[in-house]
Amino acid sequence: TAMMKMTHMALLLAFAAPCLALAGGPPPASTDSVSVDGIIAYLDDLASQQAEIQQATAQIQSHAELARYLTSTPAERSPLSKLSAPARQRFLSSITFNEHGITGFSYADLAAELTPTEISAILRLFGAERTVPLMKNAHISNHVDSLIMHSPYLMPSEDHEGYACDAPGDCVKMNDHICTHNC
Amino acid sequence: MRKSLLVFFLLSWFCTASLHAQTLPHTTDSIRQAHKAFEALSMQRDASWRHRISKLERYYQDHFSAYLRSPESMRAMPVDDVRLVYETARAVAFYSGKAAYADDALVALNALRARHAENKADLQHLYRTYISTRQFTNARQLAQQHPSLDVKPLPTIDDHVMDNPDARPTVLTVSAETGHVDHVVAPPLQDTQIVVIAHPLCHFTRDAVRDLVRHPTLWKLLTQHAVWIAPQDGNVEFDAFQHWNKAIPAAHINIAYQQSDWTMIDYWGTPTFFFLKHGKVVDRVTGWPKEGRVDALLAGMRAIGLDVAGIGLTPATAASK
Repeated sequence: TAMMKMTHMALLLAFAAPCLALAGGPPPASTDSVSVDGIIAYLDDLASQQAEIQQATAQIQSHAELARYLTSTPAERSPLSKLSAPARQRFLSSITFNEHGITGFSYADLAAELTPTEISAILRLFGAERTVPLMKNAHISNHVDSLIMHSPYLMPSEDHEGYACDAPGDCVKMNDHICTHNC
Repeated sequence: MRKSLLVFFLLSWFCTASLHAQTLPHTTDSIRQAHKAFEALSMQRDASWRHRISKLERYYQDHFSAYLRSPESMRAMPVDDVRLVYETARAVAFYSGKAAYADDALVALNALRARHAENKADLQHLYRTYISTRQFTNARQLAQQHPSLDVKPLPTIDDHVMDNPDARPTVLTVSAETGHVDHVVAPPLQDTQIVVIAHPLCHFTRDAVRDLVRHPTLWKLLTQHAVWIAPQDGNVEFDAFQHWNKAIPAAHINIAYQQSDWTMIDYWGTPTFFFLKHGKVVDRVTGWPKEGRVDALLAGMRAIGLDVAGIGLTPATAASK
């Protein structure tokens, strides 16, 4: 029985070590000894990768593509038609692009006039639908709207509400704007 | 004597009425045009934060503040125009961080409420306005009065600013371990000081740190002499600060309580690196484009007397020059 107890203990320890490793062990001490790799891993997190996937599949990634879309897409087939004409004009005028796609836009009119579902349909054109949960004042009209606003898969960690993308590479305060991760 | 008094009162009334008539725009078109002009002004970039705020405040004072001084003037206005007054007051509070403009926004919102035209979005905006102007009690009361507001609750913020005889700037600091938020006096600036305006949610800030940590000597020198400060705003995303501070303790970011307290800082775009000697800005590096700004950073450090000898560009960076 002593032998069996020792065997059980050995087996327990054998399994416990990898389990503890998987659990991550105790949190790292808050000192300057955090590794460079650890810092870079934090900065290049999963949300960034998700945003890149959305961006890579965006239909509109430049002013030229936006112009082509507007001239070639009938109003009844475009989610932009849900916006009033003045709001649509203001929203389209506010959009900024760089070589990676959309870098920022004003969301004031989107949130004032549309539901999260409708906003999502518009921003999907630009690969920016993940920013919808940032528009806290968008009117929730049904269960799908609520899912969009509270979806953990859409919570952006790279997009910056209340700021706009500015050259030469900085974020500046801009009321009712969002600076996307492309900025 | 009585006639003199009567003339005096009549003249006073006339002057006041004339001033009132001159101060307030008379038409809906003029309010809408003023709002449009204010929006255009707010979109203009400016290398000086103070200059930008001053322009917006002046325009607001000239075209909108009279309505808030005379709330009865809004009773006869179309609701949409009252809303424009509210939006403008809210916007100038956003940019300036001053509580007086948040109070103005509330006056306009009360005018909307009196007309049954206030909506949930208005209250959500007011909540963020209170936070950005550091009226935390008002923000909490608003959330309590409107449980369906669907706003992220403001955490407890312990105030430790009891004694600040030198009137030093104060900050909100977020604990890396617990996420707790405290309002504290910022440490005094050193004779040789770097102030980094940064934000964990700013992509350029993240790019800068990603590049700089790859230069260990430069990174060590920078973080030894730098304080990292985020702009004053209405965000309640304190968990983003906690995650950053935990992942990058050498670049712990605090949040400016009042930007105006940082008298030596005149630009709050992120990231911006200010190089100070004896409290005076000697150099400034603004932004972090794709190619980085390591050489400009080294020049700034040299300008305040830091020994950057031997800190060279990495092979990758050198190849891109």
